[in-house]
Amino acid sequence: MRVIKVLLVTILMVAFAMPVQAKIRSVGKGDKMNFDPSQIPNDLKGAFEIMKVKCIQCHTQERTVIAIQTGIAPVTGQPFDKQATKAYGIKMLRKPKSNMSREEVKQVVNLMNFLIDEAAKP
Amino acid sequence: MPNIIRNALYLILSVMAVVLSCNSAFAIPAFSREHNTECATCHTIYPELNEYGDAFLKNGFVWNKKGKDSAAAENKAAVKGEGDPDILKQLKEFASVTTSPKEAEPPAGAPKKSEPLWLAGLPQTVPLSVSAALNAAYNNDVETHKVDLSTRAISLLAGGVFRDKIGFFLKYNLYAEGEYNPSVSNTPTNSNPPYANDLDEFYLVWRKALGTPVNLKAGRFRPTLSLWKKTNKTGISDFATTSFKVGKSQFSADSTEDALEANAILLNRIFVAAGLVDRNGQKNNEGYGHVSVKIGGSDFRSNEPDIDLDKESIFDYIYLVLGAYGYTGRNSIDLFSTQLNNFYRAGADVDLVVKNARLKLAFARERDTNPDFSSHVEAVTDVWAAQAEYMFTPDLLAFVRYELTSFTDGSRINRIIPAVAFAPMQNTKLTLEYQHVATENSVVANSSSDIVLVGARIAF
Repeated sequence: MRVIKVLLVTILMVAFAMPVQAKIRSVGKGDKMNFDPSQIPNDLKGAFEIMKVKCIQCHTQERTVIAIQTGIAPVTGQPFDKQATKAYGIKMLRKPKSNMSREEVKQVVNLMNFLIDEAAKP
Repeated sequence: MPNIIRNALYLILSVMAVVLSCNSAFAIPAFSREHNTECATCHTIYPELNEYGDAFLKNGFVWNKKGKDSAAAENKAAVKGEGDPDILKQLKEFASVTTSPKEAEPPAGAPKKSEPLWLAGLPQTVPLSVSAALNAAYNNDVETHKVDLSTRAISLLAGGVFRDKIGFFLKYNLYAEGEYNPSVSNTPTNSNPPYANDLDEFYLVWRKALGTPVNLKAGRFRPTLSLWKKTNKTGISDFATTSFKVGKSQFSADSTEDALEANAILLNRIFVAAGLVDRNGQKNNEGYGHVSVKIGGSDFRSNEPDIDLDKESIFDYIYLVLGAYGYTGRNSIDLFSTQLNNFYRAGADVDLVVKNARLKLAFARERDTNPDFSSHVEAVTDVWAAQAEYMFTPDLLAFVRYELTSFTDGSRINRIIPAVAFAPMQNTKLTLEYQHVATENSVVANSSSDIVLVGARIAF
């Protein structure tokens, strides 16, 4: 019994010791990972819906979540800041397969900039 | 729990872990694995490159390092310690490129990089891939053997970069069977002379040599000439402007050569390359040069244009690449022959992309002083090509190409090639291509032929 208790305590400690490294919360794991919808303000909910539908046509939301949380684009290893969000927005606008309109890109860039600001808060 | 059961459980779990990880790890080739990204990042329909793939290639297999210097400086200031100054320097550099400015460790799900591997200069994944092609041809104009199902090839590919300094690429033809004709098939040779053609390409790139913008490339590779080559296409047949040969001369712009090349990106939108080719039996080395300019779109370092998201403009979706090249050399039928052929090849290309549509225009001229290695009758050959391409969906692309080859004696070859390429997965491609070839000849009767090619290609 003592062994089981120690084991349980250890598991709980490990579970709660997982580092929370950013202010931006995510839900799900792997290809199901997404931003926690509760932290998206009402005026950006529409942009979040666009992001959820359009961005996953080519890549998982995990890639975006990691970029925002770490400040590093996972593929290129380059800083993911507001300059980068605009550049990625333009890239997606120009990408033949992205199926994103200019207005949609603009809204998603605004959302990513908001998330970057949130992530930077102390 | 008896040891035997526990060990069996460990074994089953270990095997499951390996199997599950293999499913994702081996689904895509070396660059995808190393950078944890999909094929479509660099390709339209594999293996044709998009503008980001082209930039990745031009930069020696490294992504644009925008903002790296400032991030590196920030991290260098944060890293403290004593010890071997060389190792410390390496660790600081490693920290600057692999971790977040804010976080020491990436969160769960983020790609993790091994410091020891990086310190050893090794890629994070084993940089090997296999590419395999099956081609079938139907030619109604021949008497026998109308259907040919025996054309197949398997190649081993390796590519990557050692700590962003030394890029490398290798293509080794493991197996090939079937008739090789560059104008109708993409099957590589691995026949005579023994093993000479097995190694299709193997080269190293010293990136930004001695701190200059110049990349030095050495080994066996296709010299940087035309904007397109046989490894960068959606169809089965190659552009006539790069694959054509004159008389008995074996030179084509698509041939791999043992060469040394210097190339550089200037002002982010100009790409220049110059090289020397060495071949046994030459009196002098051969030489070539290339220049291309990109207008619109992202530049050759993948920097996106500064587009106003509030204003709609068709020009935001257009880019144009203009290229020109020249190659001069001298060859003969064998090493001891005194029947030499001096030749030059010059060409110009245009690549215009408007949203999902793409137009490729190409012209090449070759002048040979003795192309049959006997008569010393000069020949001038002009080749024109135009290809209109449209991507209907991310996995479906169609094109039609017209080619005209004009010889000194007045004879001409016209080719019309419509094709459809379908990629059910990003690393799998099916191509259906039709070729109508009409030959106009001033000496013998005109002729024509029709060929249907079906190709399947996978890479993993």
